[in-house]
Amino acid sequence: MTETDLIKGCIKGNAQCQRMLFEQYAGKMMSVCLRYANDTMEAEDIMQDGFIKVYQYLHQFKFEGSFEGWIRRIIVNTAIRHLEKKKIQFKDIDESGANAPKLDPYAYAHLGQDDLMKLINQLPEGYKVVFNLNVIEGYSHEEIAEMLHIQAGTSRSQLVKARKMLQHQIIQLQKIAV
Amino acid sequence: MTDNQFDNFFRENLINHTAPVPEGLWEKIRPEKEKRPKGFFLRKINGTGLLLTALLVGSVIIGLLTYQHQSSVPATDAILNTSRTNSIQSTQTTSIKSGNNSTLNSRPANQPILQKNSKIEISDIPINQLVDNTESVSLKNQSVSVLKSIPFTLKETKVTGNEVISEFNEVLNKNQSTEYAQNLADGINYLSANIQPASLFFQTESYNSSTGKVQKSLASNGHDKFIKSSIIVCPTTRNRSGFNSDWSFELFASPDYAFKSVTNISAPQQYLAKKDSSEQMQVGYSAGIRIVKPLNDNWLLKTGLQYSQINQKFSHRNENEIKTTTVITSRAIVRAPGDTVHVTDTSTLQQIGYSIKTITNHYRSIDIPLTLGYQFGNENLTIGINAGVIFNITSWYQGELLDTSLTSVPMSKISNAIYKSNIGMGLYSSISIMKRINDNTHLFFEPYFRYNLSNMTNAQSTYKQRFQISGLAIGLRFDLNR
Repeated sequence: MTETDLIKGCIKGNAQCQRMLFEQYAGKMMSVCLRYANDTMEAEDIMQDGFIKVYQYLHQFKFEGSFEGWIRRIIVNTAIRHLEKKKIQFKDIDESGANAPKLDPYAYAHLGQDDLMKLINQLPEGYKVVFNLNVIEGYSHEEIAEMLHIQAGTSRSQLVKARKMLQHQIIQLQKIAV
Repeated sequence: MTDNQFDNFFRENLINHTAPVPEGLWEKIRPEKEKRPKGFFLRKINGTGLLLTALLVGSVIIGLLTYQHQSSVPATDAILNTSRTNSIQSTQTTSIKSGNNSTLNSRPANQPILQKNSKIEISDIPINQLVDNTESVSLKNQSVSVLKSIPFTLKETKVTGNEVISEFNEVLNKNQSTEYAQNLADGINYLSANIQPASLFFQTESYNSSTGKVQKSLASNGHDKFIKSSIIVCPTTRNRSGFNSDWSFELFASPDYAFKSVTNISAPQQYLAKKDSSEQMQVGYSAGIRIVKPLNDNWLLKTGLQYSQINQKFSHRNENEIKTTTVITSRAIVRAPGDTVHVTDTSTLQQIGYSIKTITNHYRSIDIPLTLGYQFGNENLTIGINAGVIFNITSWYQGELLDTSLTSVPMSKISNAIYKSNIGMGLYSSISIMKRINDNTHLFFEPYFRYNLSNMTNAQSTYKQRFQISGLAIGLRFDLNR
């Protein structure tokens, strides 16, 4: 069954297609949810609400562009709406050592996906959201500013600080390993 | 290392990363339709479908009842059905039906109009031939055609049988002294002999001023003996002023389905969305009594008292539910023979999770309906249209709902803060289909719609909410004072 058939089946209310669609994208979308949520329970909530919206608005999909991208956008938007409820704080963390540490690419090349997930989840909420939106999802700072109702400059500074904090964490991991 | 390299490393690793999906998540996500148990069709149809189904079922039942009623009428019973044919048939009609049928429209001037024991069918003959339309009256081997429109003018007057006959004879004498006329006179004589000293009531339905022809419906009035012996259905007694002294009593119950409408005033959108998703309307019911006062043959006034209950399923997920388990461990420490110490440790284990609460909310009210109806049909099957107002006496609520902090709160405690105890007036409209099941009892089906004019929420509430209700009242009407 092609992706188009699957989508059309879902629109018609075919339970089997709906199940198949869920199984096909659930893993990736759960990963997206986990990157934005503070814990597994919250990720599950985002996933649930997001997929309900996917089925609700599936008939609006125009079969233009990537379907996975379309689902991902819904999930990301749902995650942001969830986080907005808790009022995301884009605060500046006072860090010792204002200069960004120099990090050799070999220092993090060995890190696996789960390690990276953990690193991201350790970021403060504002850093994490901006880093995810910009680096992983590929949104520009202007788009992020619009989505999060913040200034584009705030988005940029949050990203810089997020990156810096991640690098610090990787260095710390190196030290522990040594 | 550049920032781009660093970013790309993260992107490439995480863009296609998959995480394990929690067990049972699909059960929470899958569309509602699939979750519902098969076979319970009422849950699958919406309010309109429910009404259509109820109408269909009602029509089938009425059809069956009508069929059974018609089958149960004895063939030998005489029927007087003034509303349709205005005819009286004899219990013995063999002499009539075996004879010739004559039509007077095309009768030659010198041809006998009617042989003895013949049935007459007359329609639209000129005034000098006495009649323009007939109704056949057959009484015990007599065959008479009673004029539906007779040339002399009787407008809504009550006359004795003798007066009718004398006027009739006068007209006969003026026109023709034929055998036909004799037959008619015989018939009338027989009629008067049987219903004397009763009076006949002629009611004018339409009056043609150019010809003086009057269409009348013949109705007998107060002849219990005659009615009971040969008539099943008889027009009701009416006095001259047209006032109807009948009244009826209705007892009904109805499955209801409520439609909720919510208008935001100042509530957060997320709150309303969450509230809306936590509430699902279910089938409710109404029951009540009504007194029916017919104003005339068609118009009637109804009022009474009714109880309504709207049901609503409320589901809410409470986050951060803490379950505390106390663990007590006892152990004995033997330090030396005969020196044993019993140590008891108490520890607590806290589990943080969520709980899903599902309860049924009840919105109850007592109301007084006041409707004006127009009904038409015959004695067996009546269709009516009703419209009016419905006044709420009191309303009260039971259950839970979300407050603005998204926690569930008992409705009874905050009912004064959010919902009114009196929701005011509403509009009521219905269509009723009524079937007679015996002399004084009718079965009726009445699909209705109730539109509440005011909100059930208080002025302080951050949103407005009201219910519109549709249902199918099924009940019995008992005729009293008939």
